[in-house]
Amino acid sequence: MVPQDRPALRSIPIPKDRRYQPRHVGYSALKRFTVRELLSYGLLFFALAALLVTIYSLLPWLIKQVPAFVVGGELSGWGQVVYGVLAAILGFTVVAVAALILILMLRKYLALVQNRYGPLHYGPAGAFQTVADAIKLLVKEDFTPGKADRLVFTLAPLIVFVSALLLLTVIPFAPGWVLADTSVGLLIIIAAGTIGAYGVLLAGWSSDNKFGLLGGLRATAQLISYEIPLALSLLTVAVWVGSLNLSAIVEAQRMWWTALPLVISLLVYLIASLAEIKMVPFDLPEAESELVAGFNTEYSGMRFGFFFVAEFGELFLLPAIAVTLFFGGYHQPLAGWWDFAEVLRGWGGFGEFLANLYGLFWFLLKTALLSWLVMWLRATLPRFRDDQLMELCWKVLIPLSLVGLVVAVVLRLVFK
Amino acid sequence: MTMLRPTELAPVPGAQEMLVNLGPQHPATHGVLKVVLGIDGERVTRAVPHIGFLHRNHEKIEESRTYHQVIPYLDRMDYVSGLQNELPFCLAVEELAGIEVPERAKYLRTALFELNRIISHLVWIGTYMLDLGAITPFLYAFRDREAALDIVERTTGGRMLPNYFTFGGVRRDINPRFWQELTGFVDYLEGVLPEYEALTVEAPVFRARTVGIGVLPPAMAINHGISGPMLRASGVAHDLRKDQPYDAYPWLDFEVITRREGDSWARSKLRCQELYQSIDLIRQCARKAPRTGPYLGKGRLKIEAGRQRYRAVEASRGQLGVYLYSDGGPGPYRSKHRSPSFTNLQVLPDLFVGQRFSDVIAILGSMDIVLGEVDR
Amino acid sequence: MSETTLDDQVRKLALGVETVYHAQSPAAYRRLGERLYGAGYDFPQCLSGVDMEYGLRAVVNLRRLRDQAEVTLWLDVAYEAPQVPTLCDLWGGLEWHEREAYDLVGLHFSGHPDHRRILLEDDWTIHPLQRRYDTGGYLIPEWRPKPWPEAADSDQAPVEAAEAVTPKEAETGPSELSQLKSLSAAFAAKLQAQGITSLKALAELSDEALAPLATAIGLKSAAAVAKWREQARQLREGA
Repeated sequence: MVPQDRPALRSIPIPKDRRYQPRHVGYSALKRFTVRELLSYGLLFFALAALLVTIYSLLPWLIKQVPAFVVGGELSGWGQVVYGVLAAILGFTVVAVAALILILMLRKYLALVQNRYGPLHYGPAGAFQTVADAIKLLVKEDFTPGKADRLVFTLAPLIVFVSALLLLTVIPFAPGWVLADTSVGLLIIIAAGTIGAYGVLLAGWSSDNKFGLLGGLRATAQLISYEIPLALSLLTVAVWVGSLNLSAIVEAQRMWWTALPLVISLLVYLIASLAEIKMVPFDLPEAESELVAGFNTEYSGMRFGFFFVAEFGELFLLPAIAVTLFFGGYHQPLAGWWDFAEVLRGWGGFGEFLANLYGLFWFLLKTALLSWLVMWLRATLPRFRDDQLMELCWKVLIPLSLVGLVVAVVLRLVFK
Repeated sequence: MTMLRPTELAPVPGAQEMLVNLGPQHPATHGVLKVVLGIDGERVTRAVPHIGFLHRNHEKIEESRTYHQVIPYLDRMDYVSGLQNELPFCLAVEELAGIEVPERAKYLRTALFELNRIISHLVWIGTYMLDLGAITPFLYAFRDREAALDIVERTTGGRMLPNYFTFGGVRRDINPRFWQELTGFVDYLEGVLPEYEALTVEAPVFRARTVGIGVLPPAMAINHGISGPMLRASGVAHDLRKDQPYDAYPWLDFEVITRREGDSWARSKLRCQELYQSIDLIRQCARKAPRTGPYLGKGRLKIEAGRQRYRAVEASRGQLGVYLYSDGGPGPYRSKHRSPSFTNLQVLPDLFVGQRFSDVIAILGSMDIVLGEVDR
Repeated sequence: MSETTLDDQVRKLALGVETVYHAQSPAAYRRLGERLYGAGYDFPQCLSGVDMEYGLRAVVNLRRLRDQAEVTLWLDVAYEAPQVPTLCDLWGGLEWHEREAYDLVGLHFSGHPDHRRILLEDDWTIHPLQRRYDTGGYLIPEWRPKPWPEAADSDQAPVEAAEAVTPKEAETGPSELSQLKSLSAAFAAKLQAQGITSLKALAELSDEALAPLATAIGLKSAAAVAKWREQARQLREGA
């Protein structure tokens, strides 16, 4: 076969002078992070989220088109099942997309802080890097250690993953857009966190690896300890607002955000949520440069991918919960005085949809800002030793959260 | 490689021990060091270091080389600070053979020696922070190190393995803007060092992890031959630049920095203070160095048979020495390299035992060892 | 360090500004180490093993931090009996240096708490820094050890070489053994302590008694005793 007979390979184009030039979209990472890049990432995610939530809101109408699922103008039993399944798949997609984008943003932000380029090659400005990573994890060998307990080894990442996604179901992204508008939304949040801790313990134990066991035990101790200030701060908000339903909590923040009277609880929640995500400075359980490699030592391929996506999904969802509880959810600031959403709603049916999108935009903006705060801490701080971590929890955060609870009770009695 | 000995397998009475391997591969660049730790719950009950993974048999090779051929081998010992390794050997040979070093060469050697100390301490702070979880100071330190390595490369030809010092001075002349670049670099570094300190050594989380951890009593330090920042952080004011000065150090004005506490934080803070001191020393060299004059002294490299000499310098990790024995030939009959990391590593069991498991990394990082010079 | 009274088996050499002690026997080496420790030399700098081609040498470099005085102490031992007393109970910093000297050069340190190889793997049988091996670790087939240097042939002139006179010799006068060339009175006394009092006994020494005799009287190698035996035989034949 002569060379010209061979089909041309589609390869990555190399510049003609063969000197390495990073293929980026016309900016230099050594300059400040351009507004253009931020806007493009934000718009990308917003567009995706809007698309998904639109599909979600159209779901009932879609299912009603199939006559078998309609009984008397409403969804029948099977219709509700189908609706539930489709909604769950959509929810998973939202969280997975959010996790993917957050992984990329973390890497780019860390690169910005550390004066280097982040991912550059796959996609415009490296936007598809996480997709490439996900594909890499998918094609890896599915390896289970020989003496590991197979059932538990397989179940543990799933438990962690599912519990992280459970948090999604109760968060109101926009007025009326909640996957499960229960009256005990806050309790579901607390319960989901606890189930996640159980999954971590099972992961460490089933690995048949003493490093993994040590890491799993330490991680579980950390997680269940920090459940307490987390739950107390959440209950403080419930006390202040008077309801466990998250939609009601958001609606109650129309005028004043909960963050203003409940500053102490906000701080406690932010620190406790850092420990729940196992993010620096609390990432001793999964630290690579410590002696033990953590509870996910023996996990590779997509099993590790589940842990990874769960962690970054929580990185999206726990700040989302903070936004919902403390920062007004999907309301714009000072919505009690003048709300653009009302203006939009005045335009009729489509205006309602636009108002919801407006609410979604504010929600995502606030979540993004809080996630950025967490990433900023990741870039800056070293990690705590585990006994210092425990000391912080039991000796500092729990008393503080109790103080916050008392403050909330007093303020509620005074002001309401 | 090395298996556990019966002494290591013997259980410590009264403890339920789990043996854990701080294995030869580390995420952070200590090198290939294996420490077998016995852990009872959270406390370390036994620590046995195993070295020799990077043993390259320098001393045997140097026996069959001429004196000039030995110098490139020396760079490979402590590969983080390349030029510092060449100096004790050059000094020993100069003193034995009676070779004069001109004044300009002395200032050049001193300035580059201190520059390599800055380079080495920047690596230390980056990797130590990386051990403890802060990923950003590593990149800041290496970015600033690039400027220093550029200066070293322009002068010597190599960033990591310079091969520049020789008997009687230096090998090549410097470029005309050397002193200007050097002072520019130290001016820049002095501007960013407070930020580094605030981010690393003065950070509350770092202080929480290192204050009171791994305290080294001064009597034990002296008896075990500990030198360098580990010794001075325990309160012993021993610095070979002052006590047995060489090159241009007799003409420079500085003081020996000590700290009293002797824990990991004191060692870290001392190294940051040494960075300031090195900046000051480089400035003094730039001010006082003659701009004209020979860079290589004259002298015949002939050492009589039976002459022997131990000469040490204050490298960035401690006392780096060479014991040289000559039999009149063209090369050394025996050159034994006394490296500071090798000697400092001996107290590792004493520092580790009784500490918490999570403090092991903090102590090991503060000892600042480079396995290249431990194993040679 | 009290420069006045020295051990009879230590020679203080004048090598420029350095203070170098050349111990003649392992016991003297140990005694001198203890005396230096008592004199305030608290900082151990280095212990090197050197293969001198007639035997092995352990060189210790110490420093006194008070006045920055340095001292060097060395001991020559034979290839066949490379035992050196350890100094690492005095200075803990010599522990790994001694292990390295054992590992690479082959000196055995009696009394070392952790006497095993440090840099090389445990199943190595040779000590590669010895001159009989080349750089790759292979035995050089034509290598032979050099003869032990005599005290007179030594490259440095001793400042003091104090000799002890035993009480027995003081009474009876110099013994018959003192006719032998370069046999010091101290060694003559030691030979007598071993039961060899006359030239005849020395001349009729058997081969098997040579090596243990050498170590018993503190000599470095059996070759010296063989030389004296030869001298004794020649003297008797000549007489």
